[in-house]
Amino acid sequence: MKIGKPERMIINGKRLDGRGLYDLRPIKMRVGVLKNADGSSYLEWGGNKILCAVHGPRELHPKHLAKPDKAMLRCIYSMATFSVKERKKPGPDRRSIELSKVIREALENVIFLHLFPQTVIDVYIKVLQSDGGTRCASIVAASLALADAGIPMKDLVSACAAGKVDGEIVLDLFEIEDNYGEADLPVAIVPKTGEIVLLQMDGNLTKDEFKKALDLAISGAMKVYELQKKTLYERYGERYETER
Amino acid sequence: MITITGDKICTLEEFLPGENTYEYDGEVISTVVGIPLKDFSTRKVHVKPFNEIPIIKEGDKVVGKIVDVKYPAIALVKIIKILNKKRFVASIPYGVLYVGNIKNEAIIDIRKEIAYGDIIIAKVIYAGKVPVQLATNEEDLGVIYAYCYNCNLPLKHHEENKLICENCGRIELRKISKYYGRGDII
Repeated sequence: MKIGKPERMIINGKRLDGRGLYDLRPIKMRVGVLKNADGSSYLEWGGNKILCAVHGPRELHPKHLAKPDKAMLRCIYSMATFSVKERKKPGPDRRSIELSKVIREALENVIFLHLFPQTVIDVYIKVLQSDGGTRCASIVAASLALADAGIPMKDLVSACAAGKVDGEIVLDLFEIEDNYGEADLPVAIVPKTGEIVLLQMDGNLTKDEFKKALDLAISGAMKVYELQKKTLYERYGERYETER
Repeated sequence: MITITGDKICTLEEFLPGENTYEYDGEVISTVVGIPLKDFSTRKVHVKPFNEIPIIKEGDKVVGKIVDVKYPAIALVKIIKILNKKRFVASIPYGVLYVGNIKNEAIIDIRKEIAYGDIIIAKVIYAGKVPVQLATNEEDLGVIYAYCYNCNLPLKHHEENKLICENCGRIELRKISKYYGRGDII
């Protein structure tokens, strides 16, 4: 059951959930949450709840898919049946396959795949609860899980969306803004090199609005990057102290 | 001190990039979460990861399964894991066991030392090529689990190099490890 379109989504400079135009939703991150995975992470981003597990590098089956010069990266994005208001039919659909592809392509840019020829790295992303912006949240969670698994990467990948709601450019759209807003622009970056590894747009923006939205999304992604680093420092700093 | 993925460790003038690092814009950057170790003899900086990916190296003891025995001299081994490591190996997991590396004695028939389906512990003696070369010529190396040729039930240790099937009484010969029957050590 979808909530009907509200008359206005920005009232006195505040959005429907009480945030300012350029505010992120509250974010919580944890790594090493699953015992049996090589690396794992759990992310709460506003109403989004995402669990991510990484296995590998390990032997690839079927073997004919193995690449002789590098590892294969397999991403599987899936939403739980209870993750949205109406029951989501389980199994892959058009949207899940597309998201798996764009997440894989974003992550392939940072992983040193040539170090593990003829193997596979599996990234499983499960959306437990969805509240808009799950592709950005999934990239952030997957990047943390890969770092937790000890897989060599150029840098963490960080992501955030910007968009247009009621004629205003806003940061980090939630579900209602995503559904009834005028545009949505998810962006993923590699902060160290400044590369953009994901850029999609839904809706219409003028050239100036696009530039403003892109800058805003990148600034949001940089804030998320700081949180990712803090999470890893906290987790492994504690471990380092106990092992010493 | 720890470094995480993407952290600057030092500049290129101070140290060269070693294991788990790369150079970007004159800086040495860590590729994993770990502890940076500076090697003053080679002027290289390495990062020792907290969650290490196991790669087969010379000297490693590995657990494997015999997947083929080629009379008279070769056995092909599928490596399951490196001994005492939780994660699966991140390389092509095949090894070769030559008859001369099974034990420190002359062997006439490889089929009296090892058989298809046996679980073995072996030492990697050469890892430069795939498949890697293995040896079982030490006391703790050799077969740790084997099945009866007739009834496919696990064999029990009988005498020095003999195993017995409790079901049919068949006696089979193997190069047995001192850990035979102990799954807990892997």
